[in-house]
Amino acid sequence: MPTDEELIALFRDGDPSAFEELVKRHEQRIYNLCLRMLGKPEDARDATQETFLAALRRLSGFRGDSRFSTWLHRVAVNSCYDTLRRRQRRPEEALPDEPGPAPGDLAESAAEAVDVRQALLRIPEDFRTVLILHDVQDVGYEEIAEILGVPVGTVKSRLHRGRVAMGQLLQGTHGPSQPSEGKMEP
Amino acid sequence: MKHPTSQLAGYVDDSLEPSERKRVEAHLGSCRTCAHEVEVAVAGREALRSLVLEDVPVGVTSPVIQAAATHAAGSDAPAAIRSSASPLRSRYVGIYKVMAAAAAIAIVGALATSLFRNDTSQMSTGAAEQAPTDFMKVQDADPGRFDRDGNYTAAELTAYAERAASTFGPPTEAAAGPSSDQTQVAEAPTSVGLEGAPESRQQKATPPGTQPIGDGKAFKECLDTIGAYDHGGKLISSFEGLYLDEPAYFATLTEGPDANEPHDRLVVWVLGKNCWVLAFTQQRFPTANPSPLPTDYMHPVP
Repeated sequence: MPTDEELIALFRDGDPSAFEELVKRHEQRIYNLCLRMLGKPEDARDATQETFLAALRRLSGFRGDSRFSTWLHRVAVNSCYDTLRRRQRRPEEALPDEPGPAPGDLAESAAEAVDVRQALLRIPEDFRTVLILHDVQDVGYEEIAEILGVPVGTVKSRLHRGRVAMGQLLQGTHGPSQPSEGKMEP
Repeated sequence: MKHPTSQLAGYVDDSLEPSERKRVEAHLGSCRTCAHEVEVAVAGREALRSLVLEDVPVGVTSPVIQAAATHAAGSDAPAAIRSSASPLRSRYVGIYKVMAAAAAIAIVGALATSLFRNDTSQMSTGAAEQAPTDFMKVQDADPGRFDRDGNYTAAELTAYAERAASTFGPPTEAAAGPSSDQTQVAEAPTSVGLEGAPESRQQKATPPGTQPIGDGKAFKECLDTIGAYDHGGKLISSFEGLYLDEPAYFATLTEGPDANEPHDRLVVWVLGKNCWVLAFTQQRFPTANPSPLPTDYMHPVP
């Protein structure tokens, strides 16, 4: 099976099926990354398409100083961050706020299966990215560090803090408030 | 006591070296905080690993793939941009509209230097072959501007770009666009936003091209988001109108074959709501003696 870099070379030489192969190879991971980051399928579709359009537009400028998949994930993460920032500026586009468990109902709500996906959306985005890349998509620490441009140690501590927050949300032990950025700083 | 936070992830993943693992285990034996955290983190990790990958919805990447195919077939057929764009009016809605943009982008990305070796007349003939019957109406428009009351098609967009490029000519400075008196960059935060479909049509009294678009800031952010400035683009003019019946922002930029290179072409982006790319076209400035396009360019080939 050709590597991504070999496919890029083939595409530059005029073979369109090479680009299709690249897309097919990565689209599911990119879409799911965006879907878990953003929550809304329509936003995930936009961010995914934006990512591959960027790939197509910038392929001639891709210099191979990082792996193609790393670069592609970086583009996708940035596209998701852009969408999240737009939501902050336009609150009407934000996701409906999922009510956390009321303090009196902790025991009951802990017994319920809280939707993992909804819990994930309550994790601060820098931590959420690491959780999705590592625990959902099996990307290694080093590659995540390269995608995000942060030290490996930061990836590991965000991963741990994020997992703890997820576990607490799912067990209903964290109360209704979202884990604060400050508390979760690595 | 120093908690080995960054090692706890590896401990939960069971990816630590044996010596590291022993140290962490020794710590967990004496630190209830970390031991509890590990327990909760294991639960969090298991929940996350239970998430299955969902299939990519149809139509998300297929337009991009088709654009790449257009590129391969189009190295000697620049009109391919238009042939993919022209069926949009009747056959495609929503995301498929991006095909026109993607086809153009494929050529920008992969053939940045070779696209414009073909002369302009060949390209325009290709556009005329695809022209819809109402193609003529653009002929009367100010070639430097669209009539903001219009409802434009892909072929009209191409015609606009051709006329605009030939009218403006090459920029006078290496990396600059036409003179500033032609700049109509929207700044005014008036009411018509991306969702403000019909309102733009109610502003007929305003001379074409002089009315700032509604949400200029959001629009410019859209341009940034889609990478419109990646090739050193400079926004020359912008306005709000309709494209294939949808409210749209039209932006004219000049850019080079790559960032930091002299601007040699005019590009037009058409954006719908949520920064959706409805269309894209580009024209190279004539390299010598920009002269008006012959009017028979504008007639559809029988």
